[in-house]
Amino acid sequence: MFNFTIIKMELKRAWKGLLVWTLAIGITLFLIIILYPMVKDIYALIPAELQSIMESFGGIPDTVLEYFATEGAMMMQIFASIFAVMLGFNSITKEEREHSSDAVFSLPVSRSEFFWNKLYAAMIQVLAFSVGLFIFNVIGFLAVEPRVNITDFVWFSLLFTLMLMMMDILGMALGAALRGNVKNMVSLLIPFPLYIIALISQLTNNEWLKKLKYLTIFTFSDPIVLLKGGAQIEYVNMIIYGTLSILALIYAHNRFKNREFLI
Amino acid sequence: MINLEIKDLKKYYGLNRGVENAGFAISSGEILGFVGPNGAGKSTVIRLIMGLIRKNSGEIRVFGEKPSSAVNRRIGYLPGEVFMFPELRVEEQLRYFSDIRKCGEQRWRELAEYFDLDLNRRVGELSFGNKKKIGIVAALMHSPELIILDEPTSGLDPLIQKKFFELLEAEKQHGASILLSSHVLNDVEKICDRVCLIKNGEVLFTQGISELKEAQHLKVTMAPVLQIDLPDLVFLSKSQEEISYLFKGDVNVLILELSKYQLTKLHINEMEFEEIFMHYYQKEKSDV
Repeated sequence: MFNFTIIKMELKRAWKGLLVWTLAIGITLFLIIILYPMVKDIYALIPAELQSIMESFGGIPDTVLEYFATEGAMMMQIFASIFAVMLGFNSITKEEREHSSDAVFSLPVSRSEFFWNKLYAAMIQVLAFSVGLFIFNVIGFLAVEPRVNITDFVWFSLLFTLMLMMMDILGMALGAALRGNVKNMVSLLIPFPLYIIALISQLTNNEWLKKLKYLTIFTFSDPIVLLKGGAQIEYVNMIIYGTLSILALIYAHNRFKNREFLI
Repeated sequence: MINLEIKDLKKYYGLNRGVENAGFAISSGEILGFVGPNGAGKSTVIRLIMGLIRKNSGEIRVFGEKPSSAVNRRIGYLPGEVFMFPELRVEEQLRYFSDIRKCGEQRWRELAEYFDLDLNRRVGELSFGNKKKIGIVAALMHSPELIILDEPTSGLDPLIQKKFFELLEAEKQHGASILLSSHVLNDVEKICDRVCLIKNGEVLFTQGISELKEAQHLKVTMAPVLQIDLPDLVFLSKSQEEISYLFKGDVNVLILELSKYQLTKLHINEMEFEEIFMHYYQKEKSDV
């Protein structure tokens, strides 16, 4: 089922975009991290009423990892999710948007084989993207605190990568559900609402609204929980999204397999 | 041996008709011209054969099998408009296709040289005609047994067109079946063995080019403008001074009928191939 020609071509066509996304987010995160020594002094001057608001976002950080959890990782989650969801959406729809579907899908390769190899190529990109961000972040941590313990960060990065893979699959399913000529910006309909739900569930004191955390993909890789409270994985949320991703994958595969490529 | 056979093919896009009752067959070593006006359903039929869209009903048999990716290995397909990966160089693009088809580099390199393709240019920088050449090379690189060409000559200069037809003739001699969709009737007349006319999604007829020419289609132009009722006489056009008919039948019957009228002008000419088709393009379904 592995078709290295397809995988290689998918990667060849995508590597510039991948590089730009990795460098843009990686450098931004690195700069945020190395600002920690300066920001630490500012935290000390924050009035008490503002500090209570900050508690909802993890409170005043004591270490560079805690600082990263509140100031960098949440931003990383949303931007990386945008990358992953657009990657998945594009991998399903790009031939139709650039009108190359006649040339490509008339080749002697089954739709199924195209689908799975597009998925493999997308997963390789997500992995490369995550590793890239991990390296930028770790260099930042080491620059600020040379003896930092990154065990929790490794756990967070693994879950973060898993979350991006699921996001990619959701993007593929959305791409498969819509007509191929739909703009890829439509895929932003997945991460933004889920991120807002995640914020609401974090900020609220209402017990019912707190349960919204199970509905958003960002919960099981929540940086504040993982980097500040220790590695407490939200298994229920992870299982919900794991199941949803498998269902989305089956749906995307079947839709793609039977897709009509209209001119 | 029949390599491609289509029967009662029907395809609707929602409520809009794509094709209805399309049917024809192509044997090995034969070129079938597939002609019809824009929107007649030519590309729809071709894309159904290639499995890019799904039929509503009817039957498609390619080498006796249903359309599939496995069957596509034996088909060379040139889409009507050639869109590929714009950021790639021509060489990378063609290598991708040959790697997928596992057919080696030698043939496509020969074809690229034959069509004078610059392998180092980026696909996105090429003119319409040069993109067409890449499409032709990609369609023929694996020496397919069935070649399906959708408007292959649009965008090609006359010299390249000539070389292209020579190439098709050679493929035909090697036993390939060729379906050539076109509305350039000159091309069809020049190279095809048979012609299939499709209009409004329906195949009107499939006939040998030589039979069609031998069928003695006559254009009868006369003055004054008279309404003549004769079974084989079909109205073509009229002006204030004269009226034209298409006649296909016994010329003696025609002359006998015309002798009943007081005519001031009468011209009877054999119709050109193109004129015959223009007639069918303009009128609704008719018996031939």
